[in-house]
Amino acid sequence: MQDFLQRLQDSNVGYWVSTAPTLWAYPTILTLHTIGLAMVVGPNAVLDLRLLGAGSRVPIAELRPVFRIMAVGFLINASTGIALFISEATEKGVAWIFYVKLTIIAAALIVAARLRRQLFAGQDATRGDAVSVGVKLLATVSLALWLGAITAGRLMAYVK
Amino acid sequence: MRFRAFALFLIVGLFIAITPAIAHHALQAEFDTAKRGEFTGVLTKFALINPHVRWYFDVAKNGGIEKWELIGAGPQALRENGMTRMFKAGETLKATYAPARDGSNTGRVVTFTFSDGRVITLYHEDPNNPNDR
Repeated sequence: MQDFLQRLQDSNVGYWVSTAPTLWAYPTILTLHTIGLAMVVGPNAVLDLRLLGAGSRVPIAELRPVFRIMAVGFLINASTGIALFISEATEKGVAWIFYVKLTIIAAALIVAARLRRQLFAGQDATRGDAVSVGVKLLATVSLALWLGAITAGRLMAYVK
Repeated sequence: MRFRAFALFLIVGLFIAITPAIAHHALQAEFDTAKRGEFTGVLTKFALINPHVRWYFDVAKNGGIEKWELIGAGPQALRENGMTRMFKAGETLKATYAPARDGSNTGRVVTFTFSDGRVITLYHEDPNNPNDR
């Protein structure tokens, strides 16, 4: 395993990402990773907060596009995340906090998919603006998970 | 009202999340750049990673082995100076460094001396010049 991670990190891609003396390598990839984070968590938080009662005059049906923005953000972050991982595979591949982050993201995506199904599945309009307790619970869990994912991600720089 | 409490919770949470960032990136806060330490040890790992490269050493001391970790510049700076491929695990190096203020086995690398006598300098500030600190 350690051998594989080392080969990954020493690959041309890994070497280029971490050492290329240009703003287009590591700095740009890391910046895109942050922009992608905003695109995933921001719209998600808007929906979650609306479901919990903030801005209650906004029809929930109008918030359907958040999932498309999230999908684009997720694609950006999956690809930049893979590049960043390759460049420091021997460090992150053995860091427990990295796996905590991945697990939390997986759980948050499952919650997002459930929310989408419960709110918008099989019809053009929503099922009105009444929000069930179950949906409110999902929205709360969603917010907590995304905050947890951000925190775990940030901690990757400080915890091994 | 409940929403306001929640917003407050969010803001406080964010501050807690970014606090570690404050601990980062002040070389002089973490290391005493006016002092120098030195050891000779076996390089166990060279990590070419952002934001700072790191060297890990086993240093024989008092019949035991001490683990040391030295920190350097960014990988881009090492590449520009042709230093990314010169460190091999298993090699014995003499290191001088600016020691950590908290007394831990860490330091900001200043020079490495290879077993063939070559010396490379990775930190050029003069410890006796207050303007360099």
